[in-house]
Amino acid sequence: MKLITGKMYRLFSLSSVIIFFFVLTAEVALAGFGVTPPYVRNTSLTRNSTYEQQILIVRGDPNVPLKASILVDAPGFSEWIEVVEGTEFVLPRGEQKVPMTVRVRIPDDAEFKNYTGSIRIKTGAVDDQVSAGAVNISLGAQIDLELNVIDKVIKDFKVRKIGISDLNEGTKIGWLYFPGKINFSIVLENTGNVDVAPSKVVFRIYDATGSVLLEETKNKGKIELVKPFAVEEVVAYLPTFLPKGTYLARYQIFNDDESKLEGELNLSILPYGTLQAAGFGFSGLSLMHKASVIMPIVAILVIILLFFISRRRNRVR
Amino acid sequence: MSYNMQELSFTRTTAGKITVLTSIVGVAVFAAVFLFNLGAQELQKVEAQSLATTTLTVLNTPPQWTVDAQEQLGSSTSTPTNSGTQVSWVATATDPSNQPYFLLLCDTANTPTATSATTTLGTNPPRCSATSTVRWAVSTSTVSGQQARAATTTLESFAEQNTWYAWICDDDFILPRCNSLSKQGTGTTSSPFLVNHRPRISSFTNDSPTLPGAVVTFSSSSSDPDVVSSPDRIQLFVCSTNSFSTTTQTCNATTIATSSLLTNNASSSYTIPIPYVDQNYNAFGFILDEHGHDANPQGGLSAFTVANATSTINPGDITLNGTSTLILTVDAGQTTGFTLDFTVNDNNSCLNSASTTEIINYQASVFRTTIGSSTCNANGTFNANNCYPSGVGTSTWNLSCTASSTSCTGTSDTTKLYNCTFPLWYVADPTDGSATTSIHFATDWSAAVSAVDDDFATSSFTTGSIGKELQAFLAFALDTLAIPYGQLEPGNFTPTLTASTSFRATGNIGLDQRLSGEAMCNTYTTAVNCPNSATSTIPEYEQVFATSTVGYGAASTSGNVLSSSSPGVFLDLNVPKSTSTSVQATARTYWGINVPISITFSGSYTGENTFIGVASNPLQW
Repeated sequence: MKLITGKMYRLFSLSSVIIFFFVLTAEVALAGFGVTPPYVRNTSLTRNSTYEQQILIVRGDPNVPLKASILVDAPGFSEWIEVVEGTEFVLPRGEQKVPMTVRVRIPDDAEFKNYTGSIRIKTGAVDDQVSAGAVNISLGAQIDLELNVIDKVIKDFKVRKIGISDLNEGTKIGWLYFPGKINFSIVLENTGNVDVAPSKVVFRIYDATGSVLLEETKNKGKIELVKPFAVEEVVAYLPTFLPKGTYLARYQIFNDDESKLEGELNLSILPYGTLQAAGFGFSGLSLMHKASVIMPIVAILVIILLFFISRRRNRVR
Repeated sequence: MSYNMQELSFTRTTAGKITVLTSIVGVAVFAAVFLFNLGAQELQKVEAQSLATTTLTVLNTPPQWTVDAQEQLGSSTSTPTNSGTQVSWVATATDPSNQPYFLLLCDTANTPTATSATTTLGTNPPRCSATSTVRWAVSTSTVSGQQARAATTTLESFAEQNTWYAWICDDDFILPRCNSLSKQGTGTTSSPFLVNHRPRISSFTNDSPTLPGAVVTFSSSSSDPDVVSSPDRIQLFVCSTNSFSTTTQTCNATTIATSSLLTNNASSSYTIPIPYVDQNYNAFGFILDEHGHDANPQGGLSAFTVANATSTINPGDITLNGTSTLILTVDAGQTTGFTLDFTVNDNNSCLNSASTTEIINYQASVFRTTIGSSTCNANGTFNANNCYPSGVGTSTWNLSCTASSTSCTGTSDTTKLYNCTFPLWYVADPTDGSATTSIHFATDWSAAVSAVDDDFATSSFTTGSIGKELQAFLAFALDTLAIPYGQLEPGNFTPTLTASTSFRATGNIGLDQRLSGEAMCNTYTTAVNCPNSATSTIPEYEQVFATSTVGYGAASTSGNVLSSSSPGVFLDLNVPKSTSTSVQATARTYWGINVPISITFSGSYTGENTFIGVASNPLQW
């Protein structure tokens, strides 16, 4: 080897380098990679609030497990950002999509302003090994962060789904008419930063052809609140005095005075007893019927009270 | 015997005259009896009984009214007697001779003619007078003192109003007599009696076909001939079978419709309930007058047709992908399993007359809302970016729907629920985000549906009331297996960036790149980076990149130098959003390298370059 001249050595070395660069290989080449959505965005965050966003990590050909490494690049607010699964986790073999949850916790001293940054996901071999003699290629994706911390209450929601189930017609017990109970389910996405529920749900019920208005009714009682940023189903209960039949219901869902959604639904009222579903109780009675129950009770109580007062006075004498 | 002649002067002066007169009368009577043989029987009896020597013929006297004649059931304007039924009279008479008597009803006030019995009393009823045109009725022979009843069955040919006079007569053998005093009843049971004639109906029709929820009108050409006091009113009953009870005045099967009381051309209407199967239904018309008398013949059959109602779909009954946003998860392909649920209403019910499904088909489209259901209707042009119409067939867009087994419970059910699944291509336009992250952030995706019934009537193409966001999908594929730098000696570099890597947008947004890399050496692993060696480590910054084949120096001075430090180097690659399902938008990254002259280590070098996909500015999609 000592006989090898400097020129020969350089030639040998050069040959090695040339060979190396010819096989600059992308080990993960041709495999698709992606994330959805490529952002964590919320423009109505308040101090002390928590927001979670699920990101799906997608691989086109998950024939080998990969390690996902998370790097949060959030100048000034990186400590707010947490990936629930950790900064490193495995994308299992065979799993075409893997969920990842980004949790944002706004501290109580956060400055009211807009914050931007990113989370980068980088994939690599689970054992950190790479193919020798090649420049390995790893794929990744950037998730943009856009957070706006505000000091304003935003009470808003978006309706994702509505539904209505068949119901029994009302029934008469004695002189009291207990109306049928419309169960109107609403899947809400709270897009504000405080608990929210529809302030009012109104039904205008028409005959099946939609030409004759038969009844207008609104929900009884309060509708369950949905936490900020959550998606949950709530139910509005509305009384109806209509007999069995098929009707067209035009509904309106209100957020305070704003009509958030309106549309038409088919409403089927079945003969009483058809469904094993509870109807309205006392709360569904009309005002007159309520009074007809309450007033006699009040009167009896007053009489009993007066009776006892009278007896007490007699004893004193 | 002595007389006070002063007191009985009349007797004394007229006695002789009386004697003479009596003798003459006696001779005359004798002669008459002898000549005419009068009172043969009586005289014989007298002879048999008492052997009277004197004869006296007591003439028959007519029966006497004990209870005046009355209509047994009052036949008046308010309660006329239906044609075909009886009107009857009752009265009680007493015959001085205790003979039976007859109650006779005639239409005139002239005394009827009594007729003598031939062999047995009570066998020969009297006759109305010659001036009478109608003998309404005559009773059977009635024992004196008992109530007689006479009746007649009224006929359509009778006048509506009929005057009557009641008589009582006997049929004495010798001298049958009628009481010369007739009776006409009192109050509502008095003369005349009224005949209620049948109403007439000459036609019975309806104006169908009629939709459920609408009104079918049954009409008749009908009238009533009775006009006394006021025209009789008539009523139309429409029955499901040809059977009607005049007693209860109801159809024996189902009463479809009933008119109010009208003077003629009675008509009635029937609101066809919802739901009602579209087909023909029997309807028989029956006319009754206000006194319950029915027409004969009746109106017969007039089948009505319930028309086919076009199905409807309410916007609120269309649900796109349940409660979830639309999320693509298959890069460069179709993501399956999105859902579309809709409820079809049909006022003919969900079943037809053959008890098979009324709703036989559906059409649907899923589209970016701003495209609209007019453009992206069922027969619209398929565009994987924004319009998925069912008309293209399942080979292009596999919309697969099944009718829910829990819906459509029978002919009383108007609804049929469909549950569908469908795929979306990776290029489907995202609608989430904001103006800085998406072109179509202000809209969403919607579904529109129409239904086809068994008469091939298609409902309007209805768009669901709740749209769904389609989420941005950042996905890419790196196609290049190697960066072909070619042959380089240490100390040399690629003069222009000719080696390249291909970067395909396999999601639904445009892309840029963020590139980083590590130095190369023969000991590199992800966990242990290369040592800082001038002879055996090629630093990462010797690699440069660009979006075109610029010179190495230009790439280097523009800052596109590979870096190992976070966050890497952003390359504004501007891969457009892919719009084709088969060919993705692609951009190339051009690479160059400089091999430091100090490199002396021969052998394989190992390194690692990272390609981070970054969502590009939507203006560059």
